[in-house]
Amino acid sequence: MNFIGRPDKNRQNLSDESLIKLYQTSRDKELISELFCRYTTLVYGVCRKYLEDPDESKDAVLQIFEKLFVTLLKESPQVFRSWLYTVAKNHCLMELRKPGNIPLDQEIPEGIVESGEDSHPEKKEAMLQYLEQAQQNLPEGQSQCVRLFYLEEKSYKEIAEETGYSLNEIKSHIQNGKRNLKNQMEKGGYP
Amino acid sequence: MSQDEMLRKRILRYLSGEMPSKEARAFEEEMLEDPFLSDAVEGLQQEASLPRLQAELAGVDLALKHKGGRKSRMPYYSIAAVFLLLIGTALVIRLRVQETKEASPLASEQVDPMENEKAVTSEAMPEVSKKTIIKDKSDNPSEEKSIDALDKIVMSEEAISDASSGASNLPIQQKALNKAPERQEELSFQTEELPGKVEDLLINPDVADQLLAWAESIKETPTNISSGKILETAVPEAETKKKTESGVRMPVASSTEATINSSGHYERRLISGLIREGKWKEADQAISRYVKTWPDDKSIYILKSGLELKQGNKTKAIHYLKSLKNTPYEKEAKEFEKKIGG
Repeated sequence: MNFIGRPDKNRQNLSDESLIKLYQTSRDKELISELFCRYTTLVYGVCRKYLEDPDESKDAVLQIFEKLFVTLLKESPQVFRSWLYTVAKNHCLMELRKPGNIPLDQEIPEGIVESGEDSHPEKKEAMLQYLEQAQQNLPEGQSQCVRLFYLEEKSYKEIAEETGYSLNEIKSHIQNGKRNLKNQMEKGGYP
Repeated sequence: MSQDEMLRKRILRYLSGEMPSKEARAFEEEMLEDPFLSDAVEGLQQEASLPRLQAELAGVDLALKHKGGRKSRMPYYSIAAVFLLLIGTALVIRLRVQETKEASPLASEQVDPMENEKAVTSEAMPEVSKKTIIKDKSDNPSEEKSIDALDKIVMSEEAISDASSGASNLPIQQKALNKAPERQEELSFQTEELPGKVEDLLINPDVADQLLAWAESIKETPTNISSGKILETAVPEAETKKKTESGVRMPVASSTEATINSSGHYERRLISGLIREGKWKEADQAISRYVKTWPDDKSIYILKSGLELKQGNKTKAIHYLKSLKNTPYEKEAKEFEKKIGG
């Protein structure tokens, strides 16, 4: 039994997907609370990014949370975390786009999220090998930041000190540089 | 720490710039590979003040708790338990109030000796059941009104445990106390209705302690009990004398068995200890037994006063001090009266 304020140890150990399955059979709302509590910070951060206003962001978090009670009765996402990211993002975009309300369900094509694709260790290794040869082909800012970040393993702060770029610039150079490299690799027949 | 709490801590550390470069770089790489995390950090970064960000996040947690109900939903048995507790408390308070209202002042000496004998006899029976004791009491409706229902149960149980264990393992003194006649105990030391005053709540705890210290310091032995004849049967020697004089023959048990190492002084210190420990009910019962054992010893009023004062009953405390009039303690009692009266 779950007393007030005492988290249930068994539930805490269940995977996101198991919690959803359990919810679909038991309809116990506490399961969704447990699930959502695992991602409060992330969801709030995403809302804050898109909506900017703290109060609106908080409201959005609560709305997303409430939607889960209904949506998760019907849907069984393969990877809840990625799915939740899409749901959160779409909710914020919908809020920004108001009054053009599109039903939530239709807005979430499963698997659209590029989650963890690059984190595959073999792909990452291949990319790093390619990086040494190909980084010269990148625009200067991207080349510099990608080299410092991936090859010299420096943090954004250190790169900023060295190059004078702002943290946001560095982040964007690295993201774009990474995408360009990936495209080049694919063109050049790399896996 | 939950998954989310750990992540939150990490993000806040990263944003604060406290993270060492190596760790920061690992976190940044993680962000590059995880757009959810990257977006979230970007969003949280919009708030430049970290304390404000923390407050924002705490606000979200709180709102979720209210909405989600996971932590606000109370199981039925919890509600039931709280409800029962409330009823129980109300009952105890009611009984206490009733007790105060119905009580008569220090009635121990007015107890009918026959009653006393009856009680002692029933106590002495090896198998005393709860039922018989209660029945015994209810046979005398005239006295029922002064019997507190709660005490009745407690004391019946005491009698049962006493009877079943044969009281053989108890120290002699304790044995004697347990064997004290019940009715007398119930009647003795109950207070008359005294008007409660607001200042009753404002008590200087030191005065109560001083009272207790005074009671402890009194060395006199209340009656000539050192012979040890009394406690075995719980019939005080003084009382026995009195009753013998009045023609009522009291059962005097084998006094030779008892090796008494106690005195009124020891007893008073024992009671004082109970009061200091906050064991008020036990202290009250012990005082009642004391009064039965040594009805002529007025020094016990000091402890009774201290007990009342400890419980915040200023008026009652003064009332008991006043009872020390025409005793060797009169002068000091008056000083205490003044102290308590403020």
